[in-house]
Order: sequence, then C-alpha cells, then structure tokens
Amino acid sequence: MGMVAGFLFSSILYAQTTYRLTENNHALRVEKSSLPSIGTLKIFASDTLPSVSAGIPPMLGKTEEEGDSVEFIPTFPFRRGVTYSAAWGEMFLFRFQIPVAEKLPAPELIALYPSAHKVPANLLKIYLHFSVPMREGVAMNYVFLLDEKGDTLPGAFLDLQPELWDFSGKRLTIWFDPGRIKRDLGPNQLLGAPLTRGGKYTLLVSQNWPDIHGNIVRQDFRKKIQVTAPDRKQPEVHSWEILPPDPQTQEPLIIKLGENMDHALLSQCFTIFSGEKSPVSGKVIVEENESLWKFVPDLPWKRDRYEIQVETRLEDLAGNNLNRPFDRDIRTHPGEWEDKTFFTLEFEIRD
Amino acid sequence: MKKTILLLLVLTIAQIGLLLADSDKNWTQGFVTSNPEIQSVNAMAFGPEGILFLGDSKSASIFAVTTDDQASRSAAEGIDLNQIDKTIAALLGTTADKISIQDMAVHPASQAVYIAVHTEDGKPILFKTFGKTFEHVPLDKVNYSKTPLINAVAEDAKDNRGRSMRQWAISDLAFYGDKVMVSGLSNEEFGSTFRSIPFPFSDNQTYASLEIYHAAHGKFETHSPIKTFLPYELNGAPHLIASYTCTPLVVFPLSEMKQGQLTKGKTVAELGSSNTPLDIISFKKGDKSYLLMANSNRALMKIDTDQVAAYKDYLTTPVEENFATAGVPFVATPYVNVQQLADFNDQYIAIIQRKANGDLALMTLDKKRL
Repeated sequence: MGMVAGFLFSSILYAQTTYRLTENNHALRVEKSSLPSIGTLKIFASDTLPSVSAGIPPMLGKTEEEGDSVEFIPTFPFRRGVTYSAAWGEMFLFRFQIPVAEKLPAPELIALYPSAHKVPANLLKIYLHFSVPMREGVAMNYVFLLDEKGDTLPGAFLDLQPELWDFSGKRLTIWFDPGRIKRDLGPNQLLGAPLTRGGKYTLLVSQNWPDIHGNIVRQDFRKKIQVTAPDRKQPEVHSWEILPPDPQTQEPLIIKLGENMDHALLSQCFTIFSGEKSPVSGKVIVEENESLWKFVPDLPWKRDRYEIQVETRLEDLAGNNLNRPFDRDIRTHPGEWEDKTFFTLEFEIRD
Repeated sequence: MKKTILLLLVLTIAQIGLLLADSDKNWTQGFVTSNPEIQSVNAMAFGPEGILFLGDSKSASIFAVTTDDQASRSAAEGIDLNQIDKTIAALLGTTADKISIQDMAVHPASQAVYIAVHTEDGKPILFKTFGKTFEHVPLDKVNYSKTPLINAVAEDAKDNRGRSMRQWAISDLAFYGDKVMVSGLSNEEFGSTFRSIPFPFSDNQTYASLEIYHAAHGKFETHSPIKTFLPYELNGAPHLIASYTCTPLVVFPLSEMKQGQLTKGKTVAELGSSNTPLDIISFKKGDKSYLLMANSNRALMKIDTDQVAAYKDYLTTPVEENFATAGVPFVATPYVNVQQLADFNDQYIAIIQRKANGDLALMTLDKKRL
C-alpha cells in the first residue's frame, strides 16, 4: 500500500524531476532542486520499482554530489534497450532508457559447414560463421534439426557449456550428440544416431539470435541435408591427388582430398616446407564442399622438392582422423591406434 | 660411531627442514598487483590460502588471484537464496536472460560462495555471497599470477605462419597437491587436453593429450573429450575421475599421464543418454566418501567411491551381448536440474539449482540427507 501511495505522490510532485545522462551514458545526473532533501538515489533495471518484498536489489554504483546535482555512476555501464527506474529512497522518480545502439547492421549467419548437401549418417560437427561476435551460451535456443515434415528432432545436438566459440566470437562449433553416434553406447542403443541414412533433414538456425550488442539475426537460415551411408573409414592421405603448380608462379598448389573434410581443420593442419626445410607462407583456400585444398604462396614457387606435413588431427565429416576412425570395432580391428603427429607428403616443382 | 649418529642427526634435521619448507611454501611467489585483463571465466576453484584459480578460455590463460576472506560464519549456517539470476542481473543493471552463470566455488575459510557470471557481451564478473546479499568482487586490480595454456612446441612454431592459435574451451579446473589441473575441449578436432600445471606457476606444464579411448562394451573404441573431472585418491594412488561429454564415468591413474601422450581411461559406469555431465565433486559422510555428479538431463547422482575403487571389471573388457546399463551403481537423488556443485563445509554441499517454478536457487544440502 505504501508503495502505491509513493507512486502517486511521486508522479504528481516529481513529474518535473530534471535529469540527464552524462556523456557516453557514463552517469545519471539529477538536479538536487527537484528532489526532496533527504533520500538516496537508486536505479533499478526494470520499468517499475520492484516491491521491497521481492528482494531485488538496485544496480551497483556510487552516488556523488556534483554541484547542484546528485550523480549516480553505475559500476557496470547502463545497457542499451534496458528500461531503468530511478527512485529516491523508496519513491519512484522517473523512467529512462538508453536508446538502442546507433544503427549497427543486424548480425547474419554467413556460412554453415559442411557445405555439401549430402552428409554421412555419422556427421559429427557443424560450424556456424556469423558476421559479428554473438551472444554465447544460448545456441540451443536457435539451432534445430528438423525432419522431412518440418518437426524438430530433440536431442540431436550436444548441449555443451561452455559453447565452442572461436576467439573472435564469430564461429561456433556444434557437435551432434557423440553418445548417439558412437556405436553401442547407451544413448546410441536407446535413441539411435541423430541422422538416419537415406533421411532428409533441415538444419535451421532461427532468427532472433542476439549478438553481443543485443542486435538480433533477422532471418531464419535453412540448409537441407540428405543423409548418406555412415563414413567409418580414416582419410587415406596417400590416395590424395597432388597437383603441383608451375615454377616462378603463384598458382595454387592443389590437393584433391577425395572426400569432404572438416572445414576448420583444413586451414589448420597443413604446413608446406621448401627443400631447405623452411616453411612456406601463403594462404589456404578450401573449395568444392571441402574436398579441394588450395594453397597460394606469398612468393612465387621455386624449382624445388617440397614437403607437405599434414597433422593427424585432421578429420573428415565423421570425426575420423588420420590416426584412427571415430569409432573402431575392436573385435575385427584389435590392437593399438596409430599415434603419429603428422604424415609427410612430397611434391616437386619443375619445368 | 659418533660420526654416524651425527650424520643421521644432520640428515634428520635436514629432512625436517625440507618438510617445513614444503608446508611453508610461498604460494604467492611471483604475484603482482595490477589489472590481469581477464576476458572470460569458464571455471573456478580455490587453492591454498584462499587463492582463487580462474580458467579463461578467451585469453587461453589460468589466473591465480588472492582473496582476503576471513573465517566469518558459523559452520552450521546453510544458505537458501532464491532468484539468484534475477538478483545478480539487477545488480548489473540488466535482466536475468542476459547473464549466464559460469561456475561456483566456495572459499574454504570464509565459506563465501563465489559465482562467476558472463554478461550478454561475454564480459566476466565475479560475485560472492555469504547467504544474504551479493557482493561484487572487482577483477580489475588484484594480486595475481597467470599462466598461458601453452601449446606444444610444434604447434607454436606454426603461429609465425599467420595461423590462428589452437583454442581450448576450458571445461573444468581443480587444484590438487601443488598443481592446477585443467581440462579443455577443442573447438575444432574432436578431442580434449588435460593439463597439470605446477603452482606457483612457472614455464613448466605437463599436458597429456587426453584423447582418451572409451570402450563401449568391449566392442567399439572411440576417443572422448573430457567435460568434468575430479582428482581423487583411489586405492592409495592419485587418480582422475572424469566424465566424458557423452556421460560415461572413467578413472585413470595420474601416474600414467605423460607429456603429450595418449592415455586410456577405464570406464566404470555409463550414466544415461542424452545427457551432459555438468559438474562432479566428492564429499564425506561419516567415514564414507561419495561422488556427486550434476547432469544436464538427469537427477543429481550419488556414487559410492569404495565401489569405484573396488570396480575391477572395467568396461574395457569384452562382455556379453546386450549388456545394458553397466558399471558402478549410482543413486539418483531427488535433486533435478542441478547446474553447479561445490563442497561447502563438513556439514553441507552447495548447489545451484533451477527449480520447477523457474527460479534459480543457491542452496546448501545437508550431507546427512544425501
């Protein structure tokens, strides 16, 4: 009851409270002459004052007297889009809002890997690339696997916290639930793999995913996928086709990988060494559904024998790497796994 | 004869001296006071003398920060706080949907509960509570030391070719003996790393590339990234009790973890499907020890550590077909949606739980009732 009275009282008497936000919304400044003499300035992050019994505290900050005004400097900056209520003691004074940001472009999903529409039934990961750093920890509210009828299939992805963002905050790695992919594990026996061979699905990244400024993705992103047989074979490095470039050019070195590989690892796992064993600098380009690896050197190729070191952690779409398949039937393939760090391939550039 | 006795005496004194030196270890050696520029807090644990370890995936570093909490509360006092997400959001001047709680740790002396949160822009903020209000713990000027999660030499050598550094999302962190242990998940290959970092920090880091194999019922082997772990003494030897992203519980002796080598874990239990383990702790009730494991999609599980220690029939050995649920038995407690766990004191466990009415609560559970 006291609160309600306070409300009415304040709206009549203090409708004229004079206040302004200082530069960069650093502080809130209220004119002392428009306030009763005794009280404390409190700011709540809500459009009404919470009742005292709710136990919701005011924002952290310090209050300072600055000439004719009382200034509230929040410990953590005022946030755009949030409505704040200012109170003097328990009396409501006014509401204010920091306008939503200068027109920043809406975040967009700019790529989803794998690029191919046909994926193996034991597809392990997808990568989402956004135009700007995104809000973390909320991916499972926006990423869905839909069946042919458009119904959401629950439990397809692993709800992992912390999520697997890259340093830039723009790329997210999402795993299909590995417990369902791994043959014979409890989840696999109970629910089967998330994707069924022959099935048609849609990967949906829905709109409204906020970026770190609270701007939201404006459009749904849909990618249709068709599921092929599970891939239980390790990538076979020695079957790759290497197409050496001509000397004295900066034409790309091309490797045909024979299957679609993990997009992120393709740009990480290769190092080229010249005849003197010095690393060759250049740029990696991945094409043709991640089955073609290209390398454009910063300086022209020489007539030389080159080495390509390929790290064994390179994976195909099903998580099979160069040392071992994602899961191995130990009844038919007993023994230890390979434990190499890299494989070495060679090529020669000549006239 | 006299000489021998004298020599023995000298040796004994020297040994006592060594022992004293060890217990007098200067844990804050190399600490400085400034802004450590912590970019994220994904995992936390307390070490000796109230030193708080913070795992920061964004800056790929572990920070050790001093706290000056004093013992201050009665051990019998529990905590029962509702709406902690709303309360913390209010203090930050935002709404509960825009913050995420990253981890919780209990100060061993003061029993203050430390909670790390991220705001919507991913900035880390630390709070502590004694059970009533939340106090902001500033991280911009602290007494600290840090160590980077360094990569193998071969990996670092690549950075001068303009490639991005390998990144590990820190999934768990613990202090054991004089080491900070940290597990990280790769955001590229399907794998995890496990580091054992001597403290006070030096350049010396041992890391096992715990691309641990996991045998499903003796038929298939896969490797499995670690989500959460607990250093624990089993049968008199230090072990790591760990849980994979796909739930099974594994143990392996710490002595078998070698620099850069692959280590094979022994699966002792499979704990259910469509579930991610969130946190694991141990606690004592009388003279019995138990593990508690929080899960994304299962009730809080209690496991008798004697059964883990005694479990010889590891699931790596081939077993009969149709071997359904397997391994060490667990008790599903009535606590669901438990997100964080910490040993609070002799009497209580602290948990953060999403209640049926949607409230996020921080509370203590009496060990006697677990």
